[in-house]
Amino acid sequence: MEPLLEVRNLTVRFPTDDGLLTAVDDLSFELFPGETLGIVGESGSGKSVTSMAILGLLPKYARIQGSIRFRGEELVGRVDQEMRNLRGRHIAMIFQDALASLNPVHRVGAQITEAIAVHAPELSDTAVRTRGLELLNLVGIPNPVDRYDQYPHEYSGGMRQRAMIAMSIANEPEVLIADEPTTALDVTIQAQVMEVIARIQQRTNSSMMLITHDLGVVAGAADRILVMYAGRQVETGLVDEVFYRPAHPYTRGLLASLPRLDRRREGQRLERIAGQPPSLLHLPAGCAFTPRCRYADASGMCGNRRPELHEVSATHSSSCHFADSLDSRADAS
Amino acid sequence: MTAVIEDPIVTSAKPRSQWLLFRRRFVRHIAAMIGLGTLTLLVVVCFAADLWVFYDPKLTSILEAGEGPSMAHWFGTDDNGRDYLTRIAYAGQLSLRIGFAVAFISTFVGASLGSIAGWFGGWVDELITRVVDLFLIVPAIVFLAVIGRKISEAEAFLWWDLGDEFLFYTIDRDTPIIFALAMFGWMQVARVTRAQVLSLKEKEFVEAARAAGASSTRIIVRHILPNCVGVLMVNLTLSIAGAIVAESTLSFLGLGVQEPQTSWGKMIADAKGFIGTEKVFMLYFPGLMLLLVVLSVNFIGDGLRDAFDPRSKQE
Ligand SMILES: Nc1ncnc2c1ncn2[C@@H]1O[C@H](COP(=O)(O)OP(=O)(O)O)[C@@H](O)[C@H]1O
Ligand SMILES: [Mg+2]
Repeated sequence: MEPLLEVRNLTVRFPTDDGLLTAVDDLSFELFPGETLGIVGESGSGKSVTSMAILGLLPKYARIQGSIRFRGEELVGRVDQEMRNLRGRHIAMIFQDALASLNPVHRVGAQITEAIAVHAPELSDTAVRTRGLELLNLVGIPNPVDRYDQYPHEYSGGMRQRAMIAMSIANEPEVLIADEPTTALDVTIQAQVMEVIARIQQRTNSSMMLITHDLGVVAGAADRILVMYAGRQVETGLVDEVFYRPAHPYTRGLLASLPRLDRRREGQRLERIAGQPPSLLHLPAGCAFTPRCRYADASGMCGNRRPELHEVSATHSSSCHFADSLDSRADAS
Repeated sequence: MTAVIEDPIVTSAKPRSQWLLFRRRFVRHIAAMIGLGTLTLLVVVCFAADLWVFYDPKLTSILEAGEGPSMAHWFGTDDNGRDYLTRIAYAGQLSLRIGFAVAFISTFVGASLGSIAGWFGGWVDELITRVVDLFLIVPAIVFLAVIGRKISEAEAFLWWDLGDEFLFYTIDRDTPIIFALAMFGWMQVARVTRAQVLSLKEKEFVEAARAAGASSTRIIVRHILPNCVGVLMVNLTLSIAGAIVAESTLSFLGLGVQEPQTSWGKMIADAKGFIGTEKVFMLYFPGLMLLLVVLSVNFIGDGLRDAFDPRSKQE
């Protein structure tokens, strides 16, 4: 199957006062029609920068290398005018903070239909409104007729996020990028919003990049998972592979820090990954995770040689030098 | 009971007009309505002066000079014996015209330049900021004294020729005054708007609008400027009052209004010497007019801002 979106060796750097910051480092992945790809990583690992690069919304001073292809066409280097036709129509985004992402002075209805007004200016007001009401209905907002004319501050947090989702799917885009769509929400609301996202995706049959720092969120929603660390890809695989046979120490750490009912019964504590992510201004020569890794030998390979991504199975790869022997190393240490 | 089954989504698809809602919120704003009423009254009274005044505004009368308010002269007379109420009405024509024209022009110019600077940043911002600074440091009085006299000489010559010298101000005669005042009145708006835009453009809703495919123009018009309305309204109010007062300064430069014509600003300036004497009413009346205009505009501005801003309580 042809991938819908293909990212090849994407590198994004920002010149800062302290030097060149590498936010995304040689990242490659593809997104196939209809699938959900979970992108997981700690805060600062380059997830949002990746999505902004795809939409062409990085600031002008960002230095972008590599290739991003949508339906075979190159997006890197396109002018804003061309990218505008894509945004909100073929590739759309659900933002994390719905309150901040909605303009306080406009009615919710006018905002969720913004992408329609932009891409189909010939539609009548009535047609736009009808579509807007449909969208509100679709994302499960009660009384769409009344809610359409309300302002963001009159909505609850969960409803605002639903409105954001409605806004992003207005033109039934092929690719939906959800950047931490539930991070700002209560746990109970999180589940509802994830349900809405799943339902929408099924209905519109779009592909989705589900970005989160929480493995728990992607577990039920994603088909494949890509784990990022310090701008680099450390592991990708099918959900089950990553959850049950993690082949990178960082993924193992993330999984160990996940609350699990069965583990709690055994009286085990949650483990956190010790240490801090490295500075993106001075990345280690070898594997970026070395300083925090339980399995690493800092003086040897891990500290000095940058690991290549290599296959563990046909669908599963890891960028750990010792991906195949992690279990035996764990026993040894 | 008959149950009429309607699809609520289809039956209510008629758009509720934004304008209608805006108007309803504005009309319910009591202070704004009072302001609008007062201002309308002032405008009508001043501009219809030809229809109701009993005195020739230029007719001097030594015998009646400097009288306090009476039945014959409600607002008294000035120190040349001219009816003060009549003077106020004609002066109002000029002051109102200048105040509003200057405020709108300078707000428009300032808001445009400020939002361009804030939005595009880089060298555009640099350039506009420099120009703003330049206009702020140039002593306006000196500058206007130099170019102002030239403009008004040309103008006066023209009017002399036409034999219209005794007419009160016509629109054409206002132009140099408005131009001069607006030229030095837009910088503050530009600064305020620029700062506002700088902070607004970092907001996530701007990013969200971009992600929806909106162009820069659309984002400025739909997302940035509506969020600046409050600030612009306040500024508009201030600059109307500012322009009416500043106009009197121009007359010293030969650019503003000249005797026998007058304006509220000039009447206030002329009456300053009477503070502490019994003729202080000559300061009160034009001052009161100015106050009424400023308050009215302020209330209207409040109403407009609340009508624009959905977070205000009135629906
Ligand atoms: N415009 C920018 N200028 C400089 N640094 C940036 C910029 N945008 C993001 N970064 C840096 O890039 C890194 C990755 O950020 P981001 O992609 O937002 O992380 P996250 O995975 O939490 O979404 C962070 O260290 C951030 O500080
Ligand atoms: Mg992020």
